[in-house]
Amino acid sequence: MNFESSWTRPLGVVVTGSLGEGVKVRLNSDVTVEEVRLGANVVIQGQYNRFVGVVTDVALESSDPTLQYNIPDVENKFLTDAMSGITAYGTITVEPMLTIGDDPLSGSLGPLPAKTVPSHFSLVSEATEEDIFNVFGSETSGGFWIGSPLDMEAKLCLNIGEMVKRSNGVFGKSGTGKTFLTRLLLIGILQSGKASNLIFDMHNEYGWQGTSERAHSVKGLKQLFPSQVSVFSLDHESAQRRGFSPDHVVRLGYSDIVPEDIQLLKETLELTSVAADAAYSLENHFGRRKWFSEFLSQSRQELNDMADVINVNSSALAALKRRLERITRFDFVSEKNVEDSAALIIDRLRAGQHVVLEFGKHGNNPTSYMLVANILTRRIYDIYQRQKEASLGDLNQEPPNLVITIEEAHRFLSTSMASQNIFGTIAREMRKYNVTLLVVDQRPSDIDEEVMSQIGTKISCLLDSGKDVDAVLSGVSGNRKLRGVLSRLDSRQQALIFGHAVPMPVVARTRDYGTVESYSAFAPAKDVLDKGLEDLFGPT
Amino acid sequence: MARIGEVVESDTNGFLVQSYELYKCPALGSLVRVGTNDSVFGIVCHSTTVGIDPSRLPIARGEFLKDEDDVYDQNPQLSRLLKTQFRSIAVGYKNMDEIKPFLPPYPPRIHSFAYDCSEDDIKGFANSHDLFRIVLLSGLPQSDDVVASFVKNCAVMMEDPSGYKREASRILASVISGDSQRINSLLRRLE
Repeated sequence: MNFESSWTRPLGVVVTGSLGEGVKVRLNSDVTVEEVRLGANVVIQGQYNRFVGVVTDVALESSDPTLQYNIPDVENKFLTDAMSGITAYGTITVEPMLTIGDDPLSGSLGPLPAKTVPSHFSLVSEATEEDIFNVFGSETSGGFWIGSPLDMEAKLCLNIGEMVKRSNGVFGKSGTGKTFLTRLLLIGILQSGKASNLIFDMHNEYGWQGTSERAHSVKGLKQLFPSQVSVFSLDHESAQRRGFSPDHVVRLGYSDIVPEDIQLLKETLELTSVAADAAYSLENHFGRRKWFSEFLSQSRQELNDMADVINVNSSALAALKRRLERITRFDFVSEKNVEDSAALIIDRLRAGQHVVLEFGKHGNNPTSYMLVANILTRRIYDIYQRQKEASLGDLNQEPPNLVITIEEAHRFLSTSMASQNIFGTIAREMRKYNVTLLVVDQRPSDIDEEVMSQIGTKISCLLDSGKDVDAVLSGVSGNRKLRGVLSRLDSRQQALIFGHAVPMPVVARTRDYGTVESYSAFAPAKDVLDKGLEDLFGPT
Repeated sequence: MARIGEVVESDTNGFLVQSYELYKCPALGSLVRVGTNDSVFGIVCHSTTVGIDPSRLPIARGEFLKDEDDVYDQNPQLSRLLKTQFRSIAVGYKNMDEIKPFLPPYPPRIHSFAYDCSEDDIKGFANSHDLFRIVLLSGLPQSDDVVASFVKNCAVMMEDPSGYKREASRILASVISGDSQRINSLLRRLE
């Protein structure tokens, strides 16, 4: 590898440091601290290795400790020019992340995690497009272009194949671009063909069209990839108001609701633990598929009698009944037997389709979102588990990789909930069954620690709360230094990406979405279009 | 170049030159050369005019005279009883026609002739980090003035005097980077 050809303007030289604390680089006198930004990618040419690192701190220093007390005449340019960069200079701290060996053998191995630091006086410069290409790969090598590194135009690519093997998370406080980022990731997964998407679209942002912060509408997955995306909806009227017709309207029967769902809804239904646990007693009493309808049809007297039989406090039963009646008021819940929506979704997913489930007006109600997501996911879990086990004897039965996207994930994956619902199970072990989660959340500190530790790739926009920052960075090497980077991201179009999909943590300016040019970059390949036409009109 | 005096005292760090003419010595911060073959370069850092005989100190003679020149006119012996000397810090030497900006291996001989330096010689030292370092770290109380004068003398010879001053000032700041007040005071002398 010819390093000389890819060398940019030197920033400074390594003067001190350690692997634990990062290396300190004294900036050259012609480089001001204002030119270097936190989170920027730099390369350090050591004696035997080229190191790629991230700027984790920027500081002003002085060779004279009394300078802060004896300030020179700042109006005197001659004086300040002479002292700038010499007596008063800037330093940056760089966390060396990867090494690329100088010799052809280690060069061919690609970037490896840094296990040492560059020697004293190693030259430091900004990373070049070639460095970014060497580290993060390119679109031609199967990567998905998610954005660009800070202050660079180079394309930063994610390894979607690695990403979908584990659960992933998109975090960031409200209004920082989580939805845009998630849309990009979903498109990346879709285009890669490495997995199918099932998206529980709480706010109708992914299916047909969404809105940007500037209040204009942006295309959803269905508009961009009509032949590959099916939109299911809970609210047909809402879909029609927005000018499209969903592929299927989802209905749930009373028989679909089980006590685990009630446990998940404990908080939103304001149930006591006793009342929520009573659902299990009712299930034992009436049977798994009938308990909900039977229980709701009980009169007050019957409830009192039953309380004695199943040994549950009658007032707790009455409270449970009152709260469960709220569920029956949802127009997508029906007492009659309904079409099995989960099976339909599975059929679409098995056919290589990507399914977006829009919640319409129900998205604003956490109870409905959690109920539907939990019921459908539990069914899909059962089917996937069976198929995967069957595939041990017959590889053709192997279910395709599935990525389930859930928003407001902390409601499902909080410490008290994660052990009790299907999403906690998926986050912990469903990788074995080819199902992973894409959790989208603004309160990562509320998500169970064990679940967070299982998240393979984390993409985080700006987070303000120290607790949230800690939660996102837990278990990441060098997390103390990345803390500063994460809490100082721009509030728009910037994200810190780290985990399995990228070889090293990187701050990205996410690519544009919502313009004509951005859509054309997502245009499906011709073979996909042909397949779509074939599906519609049959083989030519 | 013009011969201006002779070395009368010499050591590794510098030399003392007695001027041939009373009161005729190079300005503070001037570069001088002593010796003809293995020349040693020095920067003038101190000059004195004293009586030749330490036991016969000069006394006041002009109380009833009109001006200072009358003192010398009416006491012509004075020019023979007084001497002007200047001390220089050794800052480099010539070896095989190459100027080395370091201390010479041997001090100049007594009675080595002292000369003004050519413009080329001066420009050769104009950006010498080592020269600035030797003088500024010499411990002399007047070292800042000596360096400032040298830089100003050099600037006059440069095509871009202010550019040269800017460049020199950054070198000076790097030599004494730990003392911002001294840098301030030194650089104010260059403006």
